Amino acid sequence: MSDLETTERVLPSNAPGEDVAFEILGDGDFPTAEMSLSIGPAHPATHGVFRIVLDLDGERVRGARPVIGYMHRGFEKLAEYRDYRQIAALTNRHDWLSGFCNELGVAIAVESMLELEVPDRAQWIRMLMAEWNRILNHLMFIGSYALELGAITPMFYAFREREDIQHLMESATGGRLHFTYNQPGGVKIDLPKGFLKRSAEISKVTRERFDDYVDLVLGNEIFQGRTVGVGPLPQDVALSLGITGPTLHATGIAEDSRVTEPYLKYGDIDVEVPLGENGDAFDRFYVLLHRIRASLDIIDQIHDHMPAGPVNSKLPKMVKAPEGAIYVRTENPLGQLGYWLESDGGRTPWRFKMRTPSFSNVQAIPYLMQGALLPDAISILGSVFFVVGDIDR
Amino acid sequence: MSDVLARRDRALSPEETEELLRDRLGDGLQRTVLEYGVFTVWVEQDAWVQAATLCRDEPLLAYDMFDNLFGIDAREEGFDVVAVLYSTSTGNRIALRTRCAGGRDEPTCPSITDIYRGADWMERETWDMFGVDFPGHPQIGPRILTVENFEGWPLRKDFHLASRAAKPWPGVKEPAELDEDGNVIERVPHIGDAPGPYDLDKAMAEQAQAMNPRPELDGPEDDDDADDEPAEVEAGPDDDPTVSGAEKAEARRKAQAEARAKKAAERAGGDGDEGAAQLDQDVYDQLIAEGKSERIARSKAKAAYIKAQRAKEGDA
Amino acid sequence: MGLMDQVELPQPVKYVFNWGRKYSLWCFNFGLACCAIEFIAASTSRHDFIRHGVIPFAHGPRQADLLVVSGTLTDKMAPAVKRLYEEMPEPKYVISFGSCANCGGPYWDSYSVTKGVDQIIPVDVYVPGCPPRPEALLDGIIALQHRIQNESLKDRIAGRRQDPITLGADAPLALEEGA
Repeated sequence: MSDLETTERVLPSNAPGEDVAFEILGDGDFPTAEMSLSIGPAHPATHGVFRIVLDLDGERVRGARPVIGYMHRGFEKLAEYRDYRQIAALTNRHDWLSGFCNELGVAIAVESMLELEVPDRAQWIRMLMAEWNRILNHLMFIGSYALELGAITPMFYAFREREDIQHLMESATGGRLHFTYNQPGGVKIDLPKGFLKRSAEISKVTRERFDDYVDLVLGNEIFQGRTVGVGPLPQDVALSLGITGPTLHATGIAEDSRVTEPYLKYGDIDVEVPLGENGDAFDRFYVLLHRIRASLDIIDQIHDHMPAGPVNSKLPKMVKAPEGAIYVRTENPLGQLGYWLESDGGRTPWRFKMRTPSFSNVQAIPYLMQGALLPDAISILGSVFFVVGDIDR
Repeated sequence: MSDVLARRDRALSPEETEELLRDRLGDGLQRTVLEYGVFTVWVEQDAWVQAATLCRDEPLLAYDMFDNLFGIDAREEGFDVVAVLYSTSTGNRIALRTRCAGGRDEPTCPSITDIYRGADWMERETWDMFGVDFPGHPQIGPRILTVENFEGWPLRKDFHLASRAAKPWPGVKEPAELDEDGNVIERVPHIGDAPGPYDLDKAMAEQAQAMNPRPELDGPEDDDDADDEPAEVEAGPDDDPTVSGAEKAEARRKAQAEARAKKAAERAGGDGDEGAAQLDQDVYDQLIAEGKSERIARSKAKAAYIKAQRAKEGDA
Repeated sequence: MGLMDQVELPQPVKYVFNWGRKYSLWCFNFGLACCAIEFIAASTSRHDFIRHGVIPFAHGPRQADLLVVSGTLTDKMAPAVKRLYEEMPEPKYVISFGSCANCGGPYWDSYSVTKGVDQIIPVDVYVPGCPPRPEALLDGIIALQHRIQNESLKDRIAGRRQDPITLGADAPLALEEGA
């Protein structure tokens, strides 16, 4: 840094419209330069097209400004042009790692408005699929977070399980990412023969391999060094920002829709919510990892409960929700997903608001980054688990 | 976990909540609605900030989690803003709703970012989508989701999707449109209707037709057949595979095959310029003269043709 | 590039040269949306496109031969994609992976989505699907490799591109080309 003696502004060639300037502060032995660093929108550390502008003073982050909207596809407008069955295809795609849990919310909203009776078996099937989808989502983040911290192996481990589970879900739904398996009144078709047996097998195998992840990532000294105490989030800030899911549970608040306002049949079984203590990056990851085990426990309970019977109910030729508004909140893998569905009695919704967990959770990033060191910025960014499509919709 | 649920005993019922709010807000509270389990409290614009503060600070209410804030188009009366709050201690949820001052031209709503941090981006999003201004918000711009130089407020009902004006719905059914009798408009999809590379459309359309032969794909002449077909996804696909069902399917397949053969014959018999009959030639020529590309001109002319056809059918 | 953009290489040299090129495709994944997950699935253990000579570890567009655009391209993102493409050295190839990248897909009527990546950069292979399975990506890569094997580097560097391949529509054609 010895040649930083002048105070003239150096403007490097940069992305269009970007004003990055270096200003030299102080004249001691270690003069620091205040600069703003634009990461993204296409940067490997942001897993997706997410951009963040960091104001740096030397290595210290003074402020962070996330710039979002690079994946804004106008879901809420498009939903106003599609009927209640077609919306499922849209909601599948905003959080592409948890397609099943997304479409669940729409189905529940429409059913509640139409006062449709959903057969028991369909509800248990939905729960089973939602929990498998939750595991799929968390495995992806285990792989990608470790990758961001410099370890490539967990990604291969995670995808080994992911492929098995995707194969399982595909056998019933026909989709690998976007299932479109829900429909108002139940699920599309019944489970194929031998599904539950196979599901139990995979559950057993995944449970055995779960210890691998604990040893491989959580017990890793480097991982601990980079995450313990990094980016702690206090409880009141988390609540005021509307943060949910693993990020909230890491602060020690057990607010989980499956427990506090059970939907489907979650009231009939034990749902464990793993909690953290300090709300730092390590706790967030710890909670995420242990939610896999919790979901496996739920899956095993579902296998015992699965009743026989029909899986869907007769629908009118055209689904028209009656006039009124409903707010349905379900526990998505990344937090609580809320759909505000306002109908004017027509074939398409009047207003379809998606309250997506990532949008709220990412609001915490400026708070978490304040005063952190630059190398920790990546640890923090990755630990607030988000999907870019879920932020921008 | 158990202590979270134990505190639920303290939760106020909607009636008690309304009483308490009416006591504190007076005329600021307009009315309350409880439907589908959602408790909505309509408040005056002036009482908006007060209501939010009360919800957070009043120990009996204790709405500590900020859940959501968004706008709703309220037709000619302007726009509504809804804030959804949740209490982790009582498990209650409340939706505060107010109508923005300023009508459709200059809607404004006071900001509650001082009360709930989470309202920051939500208000920016509402401004971006509806053009509702939030006085008191630290920095409402630049646009948070859309491109910075985007024009218009996309979620307003008077903002129309340009692609829909230019191109007909590429699928078989148009959900947002009904004909005069309130029936679904079923349209024959044409190769090239959907945006994108023409070859890809063609390949996908052909594949789709080969895989899923459906009677309604084959023109308007087999209308009665199309009526037999359940228009939407059938609820129970494997409900009753009875003999009559099988027979019906067989008959349908036959009808399809005939219709396809007929269509193929028509196509072969017609001139090589297969799309020409479906175009509004005047519109096409005009667009070409304006310097539009051939693909756009073709698709717009096709849309004009379909529109004209529909108008004609409506007259007849 | 020296002589290669000046003269047509003699057939045996061209064969060996293209053979080398087609099995060391340094690939830059421009993961935009859902399809990026299937791209990752294609690169990890089960599907593993590294066995086909596609190396997904390009550190940036400047080290890459192949750009895989996987996912929805929005108007806000479009300038960045164009810029990344321009940063890549010739000869460069583009695979448009998924319906959104091909033509806008389910968001064909959206106000903020660019209807296809081919509106801003030239595409070599279209892989349809929403999202396409990893196997479809492998298929697209093989089709591209057949094309590379037969191509004249001189033409490619001069910017004379062949018509794009659309999987499903003309994959058999691509194979014939390669034979």
